[in-house]
Amino acid sequence: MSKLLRKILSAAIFPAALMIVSKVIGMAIANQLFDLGWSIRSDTGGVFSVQVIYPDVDSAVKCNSYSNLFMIICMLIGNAVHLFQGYFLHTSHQSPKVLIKLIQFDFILWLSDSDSIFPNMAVWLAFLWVSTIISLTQTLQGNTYPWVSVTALVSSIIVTWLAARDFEREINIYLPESGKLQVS
Amino acid sequence: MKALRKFLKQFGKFADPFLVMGIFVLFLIPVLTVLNLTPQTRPEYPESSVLGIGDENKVNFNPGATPQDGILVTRVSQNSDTSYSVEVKVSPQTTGSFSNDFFTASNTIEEDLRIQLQPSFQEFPDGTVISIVVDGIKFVLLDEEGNIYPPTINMVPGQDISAAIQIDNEINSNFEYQFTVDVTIE
Repeated sequence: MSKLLRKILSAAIFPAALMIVSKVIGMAIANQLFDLGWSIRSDTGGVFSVQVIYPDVDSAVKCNSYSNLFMIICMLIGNAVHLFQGYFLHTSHQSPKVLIKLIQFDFILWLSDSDSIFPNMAVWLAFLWVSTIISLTQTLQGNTYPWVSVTALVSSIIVTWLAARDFEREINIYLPESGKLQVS
Repeated sequence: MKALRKFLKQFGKFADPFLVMGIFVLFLIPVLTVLNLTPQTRPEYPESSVLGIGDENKVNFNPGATPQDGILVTRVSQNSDTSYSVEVKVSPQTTGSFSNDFFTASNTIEEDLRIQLQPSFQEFPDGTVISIVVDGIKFVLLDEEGNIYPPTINMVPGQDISAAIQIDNEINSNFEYQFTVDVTIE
């Protein structure tokens, strides 16, 4: 059984659940914040039987936009945690100075190796892009405010760039720019 | 335990496609759930599709009631929500053209409507053309040779029309006559 696939599978469970939960919580927050009237409709024609119904288009778009925003923020937080791990708590590129600081602040157990950081980072990044694509699609359909999708897109690009930089740094440890493979 | 490990080592690679499928499902479920959670708006059904609501508001039909040029709408009977019979009495007239208001109608729904006119005459003078004029367009009901035509008037949503009866006499008509126009709205 592939070790990488198992890692990806186990890493995907939490963000998948978070995506659903954050969407639901986002809708609840939007309903509460903007005092939107909503109801639930059963529709056996779709994949899921329950749909949330709003009396007018404005309310529906507002709720959808803010719940999408909340979902994307949750995905960004997950990505930020992994980027933080990748940049500051990665065993492969720690200077002794940083290691001492980590020991001082009792963060030494948070140190992670590449085997666990990169599959996690890739999975979280994939979920962030999935959320962004959903938001963009819904903007094109007129169900989400454009600024939400633009924010999501810009954030996703920045996070991807930061992750790529970290991954490149990791690659350079083993395969520096001279092209000669270093075996430690 | 050792046997299990051995088994997994030997046959574990066959589980890889299932792991890929599992990863795919883990991505698919939240996507479908989030798409399904996209708020919808309550559908607005057209009134005509709802049982128990009649079509009486489709067209506001107002027959003309004031006598003019010897033409008078004497009786309007509503046969159903969408059909009327309008009786018109015409007094003796000289040669020339005469007209009076027949009805006004407005389409109050979001669909095209058709107003069908079916005239019927017991008697009519020779050389008389009876028409309905709607917004300047003449729909002939009876021509000078006694042929009867059932015109159809189309109404787009929100359109208001006013129809007038026009009678063109080639010769004097020396007697009073009546005719009926059945108006059906579809």
